[in-house]
Amino acid sequence: MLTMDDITLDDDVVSSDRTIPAPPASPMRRPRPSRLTDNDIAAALAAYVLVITGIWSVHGGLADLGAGWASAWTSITALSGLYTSAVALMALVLVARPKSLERRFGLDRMFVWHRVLGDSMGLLLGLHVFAAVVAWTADSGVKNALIDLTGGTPYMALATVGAALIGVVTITSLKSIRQKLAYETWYFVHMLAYAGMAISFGHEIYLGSDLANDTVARWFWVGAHAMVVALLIVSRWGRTAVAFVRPLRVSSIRHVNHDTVDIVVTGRGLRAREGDAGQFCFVRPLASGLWWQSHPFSMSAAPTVGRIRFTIKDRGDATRSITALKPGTRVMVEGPFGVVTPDVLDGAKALFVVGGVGVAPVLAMLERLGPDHEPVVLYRAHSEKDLVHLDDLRAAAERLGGRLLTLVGPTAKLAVSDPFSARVLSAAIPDVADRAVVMCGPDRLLHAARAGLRAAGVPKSRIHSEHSWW
Amino acid sequence: MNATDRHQKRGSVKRNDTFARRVVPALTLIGVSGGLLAALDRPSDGLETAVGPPLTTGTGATTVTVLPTTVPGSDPATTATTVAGTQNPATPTPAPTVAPVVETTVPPAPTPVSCGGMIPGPTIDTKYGPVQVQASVDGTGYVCSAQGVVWPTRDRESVDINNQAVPLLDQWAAYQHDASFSSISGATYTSKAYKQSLQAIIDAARA
Repeated sequence: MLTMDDITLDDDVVSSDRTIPAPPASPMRRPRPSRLTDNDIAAALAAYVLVITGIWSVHGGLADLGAGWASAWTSITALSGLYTSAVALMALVLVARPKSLERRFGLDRMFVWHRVLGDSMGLLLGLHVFAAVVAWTADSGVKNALIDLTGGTPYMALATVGAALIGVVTITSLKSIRQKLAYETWYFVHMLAYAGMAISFGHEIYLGSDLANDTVARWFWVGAHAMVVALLIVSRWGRTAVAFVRPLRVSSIRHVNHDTVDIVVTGRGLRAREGDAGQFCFVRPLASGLWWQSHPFSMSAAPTVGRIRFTIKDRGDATRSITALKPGTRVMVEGPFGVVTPDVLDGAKALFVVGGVGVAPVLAMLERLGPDHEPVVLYRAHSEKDLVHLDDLRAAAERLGGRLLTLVGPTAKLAVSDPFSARVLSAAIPDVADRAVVMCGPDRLLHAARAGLRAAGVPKSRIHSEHSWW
Repeated sequence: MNATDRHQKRGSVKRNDTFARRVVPALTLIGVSGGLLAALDRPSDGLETAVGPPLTTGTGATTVTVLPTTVPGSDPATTATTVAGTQNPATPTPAPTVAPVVETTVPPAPTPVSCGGMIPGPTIDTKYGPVQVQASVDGTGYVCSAQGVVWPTRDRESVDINNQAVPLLDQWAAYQHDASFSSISGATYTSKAYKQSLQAIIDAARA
């Protein structure tokens, strides 16, 4: 029988621990799988390419290629211009993170494609500008061509500045330069691509003879741009706006070792979300000095409709300020995102290869496994004190008939030279070849483990990880 | 998966970083772009041409015969800007009196020119069809007026384009008084042939 004393006691415990009591844990609705098939994507891409090439071709683009020097270059200008924008639109579709694509491919692959599309767009833009100068030079001489193309013709000043902006964005995204810049410096410059595309739009419609003289083509073009902008508003900026309007709050923050914290965030906004163990969120604390940075963090417990837990390691940079957040701080959380969830195991026995704080998503996934999975967790860390949630991990693995293997120490001091060689893996885990593997950790560990696992007979299709994409 | 490791790769975000420091490069670029835009954007033809070319006289009370008073040597750019400004129908300020603007841009003593009648030029073939111009020019090759007489009408698209483009070209020729004006975008072939035919008339008049 419940007495008044019990309730009081309970309230005391809660309030001493967290400022906001955690609601009862009912699991978050799982993401519905994407219904998009390879055929859908191939068909859409083929139609897109066909229509754009068609717009160019029906206005004589193909015939002009053989109609003399100046015509050929004019025609190349038109085609490369159309494709510069077409490729840019595809890159923007990826930026919008539509759920159908995200759930099928994962953000990491989408970002790689975005980069490839961005590079292609840069090259196409270079060709477009070069071809335009050549074609106009044939018409009116170099001097007039340059005057006309940089502002003598309406919308061309805008297009010139737009091209310059896209050029800067492309160059700052080259790997060698990108690595020298702080992430946010690069990010804010990258945003100028929107401006570059927007101010270049006028010359496409006004001067692009394929579009200027053909109402149908023009409406297709305007419509394609409008659809991508609508997608960006609904899917990307809309989600950010919702995260801002209905922020979550830090309900508790607890040190699990000398440099790692568990942060629990709660809020009513979670009820509408879909998420699963193994996924990550973009976290932007609305606190002074942090509001302008958004970082991805894995959830370290299966998300519920009431709370999400992150396990975050202090790396001596911005994460340090995140580890010092106070309970009650508002936090913008976007997501969850990610395709590596317990579903990828497909019922097979599981092996988790974990490095350092990569343990977070594994903690979450273990909550969702059954005894069939007999999970083995291979936990690599530099020192004993870097191992976090060790007891939770061991308890979860053993409850399911699996076990926890730890591998601690600097690489040079390990007993075996390559702990992820096929020989070592097979000796430690005799049935390794039958298992589905999920890897979470730094890139170096992923590469080493992937090579060893492949050699030990694990098929590529059963090795799962999400890569760092920047 | 290794989300915190991703973060590590995102460049060194040091604690003393501030929003201001990170946003300055982007803001600088925006400023430079704005400056560049202001410096570059001076369309010499096209938009004004398409909306209402500089040849026709102003609207309503501002009616001033601008272009016939322009002479070779006067700065067409200045005149164009002024004219476009005074006769733009979208300009909200009505000018009830005769606009004095034109007088300031036109030289006080225009050289009298005498133009003869319309002389037909050669027919120039384009891939869409033939183009022919007739023009009245004086002995120095100064074009008083020009008129397209033949242009491609093979299909509806050609008709639509040239019905717009040829009058514009006529106006440009009479405004610029030579064949050096820019092509009309979207009607490049007609424009080039038009200029070629007109140039032939000018060359013949000079000879």
